[in-house]
Amino acid sequence: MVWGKDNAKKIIREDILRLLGEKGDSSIDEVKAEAEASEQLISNVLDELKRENLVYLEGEVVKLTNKGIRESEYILKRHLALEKLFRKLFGEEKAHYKAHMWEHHISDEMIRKIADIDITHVKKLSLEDIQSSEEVLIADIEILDNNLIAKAIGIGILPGVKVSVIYRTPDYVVICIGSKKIVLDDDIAKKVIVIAYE
Amino acid sequence: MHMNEVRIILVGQPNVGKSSLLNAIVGPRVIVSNYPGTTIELTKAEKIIDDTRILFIDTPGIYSLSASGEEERITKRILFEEDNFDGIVVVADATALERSLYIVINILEAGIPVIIALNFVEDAEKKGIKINYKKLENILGIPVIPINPLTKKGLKKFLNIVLSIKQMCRQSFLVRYDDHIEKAIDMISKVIFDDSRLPKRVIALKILEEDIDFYRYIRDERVVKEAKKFLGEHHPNYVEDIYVTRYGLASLITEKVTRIIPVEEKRSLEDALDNVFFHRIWGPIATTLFFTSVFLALLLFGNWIQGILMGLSENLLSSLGLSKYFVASIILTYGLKGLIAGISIALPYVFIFYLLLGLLEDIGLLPRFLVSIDRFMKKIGLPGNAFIPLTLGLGCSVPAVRATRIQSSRREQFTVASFLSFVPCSSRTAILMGIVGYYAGLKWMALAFTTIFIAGFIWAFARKSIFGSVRKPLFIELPPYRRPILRNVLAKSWIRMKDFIYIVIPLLILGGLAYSIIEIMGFTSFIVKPLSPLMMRWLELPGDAAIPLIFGFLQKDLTGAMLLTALGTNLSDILTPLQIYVFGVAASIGIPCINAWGIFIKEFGFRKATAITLITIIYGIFIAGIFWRIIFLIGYLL
Repeated sequence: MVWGKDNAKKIIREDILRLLGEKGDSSIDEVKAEAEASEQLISNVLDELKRENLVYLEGEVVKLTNKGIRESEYILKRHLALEKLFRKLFGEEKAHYKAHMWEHHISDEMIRKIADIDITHVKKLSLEDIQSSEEVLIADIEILDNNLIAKAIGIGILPGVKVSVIYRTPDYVVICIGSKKIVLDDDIAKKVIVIAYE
Repeated sequence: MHMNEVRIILVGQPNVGKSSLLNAIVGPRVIVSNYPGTTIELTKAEKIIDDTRILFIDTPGIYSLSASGEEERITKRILFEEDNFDGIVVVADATALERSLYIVINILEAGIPVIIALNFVEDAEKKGIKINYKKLENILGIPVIPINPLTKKGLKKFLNIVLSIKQMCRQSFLVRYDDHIEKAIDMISKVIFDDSRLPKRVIALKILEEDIDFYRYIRDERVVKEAKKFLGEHHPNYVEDIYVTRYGLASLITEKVTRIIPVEEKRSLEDALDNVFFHRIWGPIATTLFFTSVFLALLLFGNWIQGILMGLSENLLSSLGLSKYFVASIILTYGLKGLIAGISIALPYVFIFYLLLGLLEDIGLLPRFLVSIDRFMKKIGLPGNAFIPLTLGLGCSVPAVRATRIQSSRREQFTVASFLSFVPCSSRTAILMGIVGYYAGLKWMALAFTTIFIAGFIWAFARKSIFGSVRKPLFIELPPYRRPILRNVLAKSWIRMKDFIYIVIPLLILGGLAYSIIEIMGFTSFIVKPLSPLMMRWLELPGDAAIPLIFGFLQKDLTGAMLLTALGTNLSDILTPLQIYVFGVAASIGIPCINAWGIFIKEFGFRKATAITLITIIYGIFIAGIFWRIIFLIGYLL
C-alpha cells in the first residue's frame, strides 16, 4: 500500500509538530497515539523531521529543536489565525473544526494572507454580494445538495480558493478562478460564503 | 493473424480536448451510441497498431466521479463497476491541472491503472504556467505524456504507453483523510463483502459520499448508519470534507509541480465579446439577432434547394412514364417527395446548422449564447441548452426531436421535445406566410405568430406549475475562446449528420409512403369526415377548409395548396381575414405531422408519442377557437 505520500506525510508531520509545541516533550507512544497512522509512516515522518533538524530523540522521548520550536509556533499561529477568523465567521462551535479542515490543504501563501487580515473588518458575505472586479476568498460553501457540491468542488469552487467576480447581472455572476471563467446562478452564488482579504 | 486487444476508457473534465485527441488518433471513424437507458452518449473508436487493436471508449466530460449528474453516474459506473477495460486515460488540462488531478486521484484510490495525457501545455505556458511533468510522474507513480492533438505532438509516445498499459502494475495511491473520516472508513470496511472487486477502502468512501450504488457491497447496513452518525457528530458536512481533502491533495501536488511566471495577458477582443454577451440587454439581443438571421438565410437556401430538387424529380417521374400505372406512380411520387423533403431539410437546416453549432462550440461561443438567453429559458421553465433543439425546430421538427437527446434526462428530453409544438418549422412558417400573410395581410400574420407564442407560454406555465421546472440552476464553465480546428468541426457535424441520415430520412420516406397508401386506399375521407363538423363548429370554418387542416398532419407542405384547391385561389373573397388567421393558427400548433409523430414514437414509445401528439393538436385547435372568439368579441365591442 503506497500512501498518497505528500498529503499523509504533511498531515502527520504537522500533527506531530503541533503536539510537541502544545504539550512539550512527548514519548514516542504519545506521538503515535496522536498521529493515528501506521507505525511505518509515523517512523518515516519522524526520520524526516530528524533529518531536517526539527526534532531529536532522547531515549524514547521526542523533543523539538530550536528550529522545530519555530516551525511548531508557526503551525500553531497559522491554526490560531484560521480559528480566529472562523470564530468570527461561523461562531465558536464550527471554528475549530473548520480551521482543522482548512489548515492542511490550503497553501502557505494564502494562510499568510489570512493571518494578515484585520478581522475586525471582516464581514461574512456571499458571492452574490460581491461587485464586479473584486477579488475575494472562498470561506465556505453552504450548498446542501450533494450533487451541486460535487460539481462545485470539481470545478474548483471550495474553501481557500481565490475568486474574482468579472460580471454581475440580476440573475447570475460570472467568476474567474485561475484562468477559468464560470457562470453561477444567483441561487448558488448566495451559498458561496466569501471574505474580502485586502 | 491473432489480434491483441487493449481497451481504454477516456475520462476528463468538459472541454479538456478528449474528442480532439480521439479525432487526432482515429479521425471521424467513430461509433456513437447511447449508454443503455440514458441520453448519455459514448463514443467508441478503434486504432490498430501492428498486431494490437486499441479500442477507445470516450466518456462524457465530468467534474468529479461522484454520483452527482447523469454523466458522472455513468462514467463512475463504467470505471468502478464494469470490468471490461485495461486502463484509463485521463485527459488533463494543463491550464487547470488541479481539477484534472482531482479526478486522477479518485481513480488511483481505486487502484485502477491510469495514464495522464496532458493537453493545452502551450496554452498554459502562454499564461505563464510551466508544469514539470516528470516530477508529476514521480509523485503519482504513473505516466504523464504532454500531447497536442492539433500538431499531433506526443501522440506516438502516447500510443506506445497505451500499448503497454496491461503491464502497468496496479498500485493504490491513497489519500489520507481526517482522523474521524478514517475511523468511519475502518468501521464500514469491516462489513464489506470480501469478494468485492474494488478495494474496501474505496467502497467505504463511496458509501460515505452517499453513493447508493455501493450499498450492495455491504453486509450490515446498521454499521454504516452508526459510522455516519459518529462522523456526523464531528463533521456535519462530511461529504464536502471528503471532496475537499481530495481536492486539497490535488492542489498541493499541482503547487509542487507548477512554476508560475506572471505574464501580461492581452485578451482585449475576448473581453470585448464577453462584455456584449454578459450585458443584460445586449446579450439576449445579440443572440436573438444572430440566430434569426442564420435561420432566415437557411429558410431561403432551403426553399431554393427544395425547388431545384422538386423540379428534378418531376422530370425524372415524367421521363419514367409511369402515369399508366396509377399505384406505382403515386407510391414513387410520395416516396420521392419524402426523400426530397429529407434532403432539402438535411442540407440547409441540419448540416449547416450542425456545422455552425460545431463551429460555435469549438470557438467557445455556444455556452455564451446559451447563458445570454438563459433568463428567457428560465421564464418558460426549460433548461438553457434546450435552445439548441428549439432553434433547429425552426427548420424541421423531426431532427429537432432527435436533437433533444442533449438534454440530461428522459423527462427533460420529453418536455423539450413537446415544446416543439410551438416552434413553427419551415412548413408551418410557409402556411403562416403564404396563406395568412398573403391572403389576410401581414397584420394577421403577425397576430398568428404572436398567438402561437402566447399558446406556448400558456403551455409552459401550465406545465411548470403542474409538473415543476425541469431546469437545473445555471452553473456552467465558459471555455476560453479558441481557434476552431476544421477537421474537428467537420467530424463532429458528420457524426450528428449520420444520425440524421440513418434515422430521420428513412422516416420521412416512410411518412411519404404512408401518405400514398392512405391516398390509394381512399382512407382520407374516412378519417377526415367524422372530424370536420366539430371543426366547423369550433373554428367557424367552412367544411371544405377543415379537410386540408386535418390532412395537414399527413403532408404539412400540401396544407396551403389543398386549401386553395378546395376553396379557390380567391381565398380572401371566400374567407374573412379572421377565418384565415384561425386556420393558420390551428394548422401551426401541435406535433405537426406524421413524421414528427414517428420520431416521437422512436424516442419515447408509441403511447407517450401518440398521447402528446393528440394533446398538442387538440390544444392548438382549442387555442385557435378561443382566439377566434376573443378577437370576434373585441371586434364586436369596438
